[in-house]
Amino acid sequence: MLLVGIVGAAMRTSKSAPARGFATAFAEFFRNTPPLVHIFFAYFALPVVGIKLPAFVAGTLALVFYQGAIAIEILRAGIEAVPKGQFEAASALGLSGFEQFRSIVMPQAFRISLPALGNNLISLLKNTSLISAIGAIEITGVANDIIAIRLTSAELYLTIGGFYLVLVFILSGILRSTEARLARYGT
Amino acid sequence: MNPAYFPALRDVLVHGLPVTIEVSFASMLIAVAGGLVLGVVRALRNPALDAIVIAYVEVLRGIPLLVLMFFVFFGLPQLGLHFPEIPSAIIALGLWGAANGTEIVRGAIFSIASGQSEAGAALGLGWLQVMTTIVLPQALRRMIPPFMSLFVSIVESSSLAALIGVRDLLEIVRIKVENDATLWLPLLISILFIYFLINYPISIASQRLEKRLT
Repeated sequence: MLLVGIVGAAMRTSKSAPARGFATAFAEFFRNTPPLVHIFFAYFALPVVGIKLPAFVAGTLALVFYQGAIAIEILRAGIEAVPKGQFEAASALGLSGFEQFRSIVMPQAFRISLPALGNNLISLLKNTSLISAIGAIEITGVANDIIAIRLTSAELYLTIGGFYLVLVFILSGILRSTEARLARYGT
Repeated sequence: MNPAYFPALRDVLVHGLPVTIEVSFASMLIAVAGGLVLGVVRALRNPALDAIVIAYVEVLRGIPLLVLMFFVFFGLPQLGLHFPEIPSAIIALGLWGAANGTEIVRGAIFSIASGQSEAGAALGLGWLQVMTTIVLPQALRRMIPPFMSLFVSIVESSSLAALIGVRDLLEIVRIKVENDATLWLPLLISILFIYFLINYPISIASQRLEKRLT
């Protein structure tokens, strides 16, 4: 997801019009369509054209595309928030385009984007539950199997909800402390 | 081209699209109304009420929507509350939207400079008057872009309703492919474009408004 976001954002802000156009179309399309339909597409529609993926791989791939599209927009906003002088100073030092991006622009853009990227990561964690719809073994999917056998759903869904809640709280705690640590270096 | 595609697409559009729109629209209304009420409650700064609203928001935003929807549809009947498919989907999506809406409204209200409400109080206005005539009219403008992003998420998430049997765009596709699996590809591409056509204008409008407000 992060890789899709970084590569996409680099293309989205590059000088090359085809790269920019492709990244924009990719981000806008996947951001504005339901992740559940992407998962169905990867699992049920791709085999029609000869690409057969196991449920887990198809689900993961679809979510990487959806959350990656959101990450592209987040990092693009972060890159645009890096002051112009930074780009100019980097070219004045004789750094190539890639070096500028890797060592000057991206570290700053990443810090600016961190809170939004964190929310995106939490959203990814919750969206993994959608993979259960195509039968990959995952917390929600296991609960559905148990219900099919024992038929006591209220307690089970409450328990599953509790598991996710704990995971989300742990993840947001880690993200908050990372943000606090990075904030110490100032801007 | 598979000859079964066009009749199938017609059914998806005629039967599925209105249901997707109905579920999404009803959930948006609950999200806005619930968000406004709970967001204003947060602005009261009453510790007991704050605790309740914060717990509601954190829990609903912390669990996956799919788990919430399954709980409403499969879990609540055990506690004696039976809802049909469409109302279950709207309840889950609406409650989830209201939790996100609360954060939007709270953020917008607290972003209005405190001098505004102090000036109102100095004019002798009561809390309610300050809220309805000074703070909310300014805050409402700032709420519009994030609410539009929430609407995009609600339209996307309305597809989860298919998993509890609501006959929306995705569920009608699932029914149509039962006899012919090769229909998966064209029908899924079609509904991806339908979702995109609904959401893209909302996204663009939201981005434009946000730029204009800043």
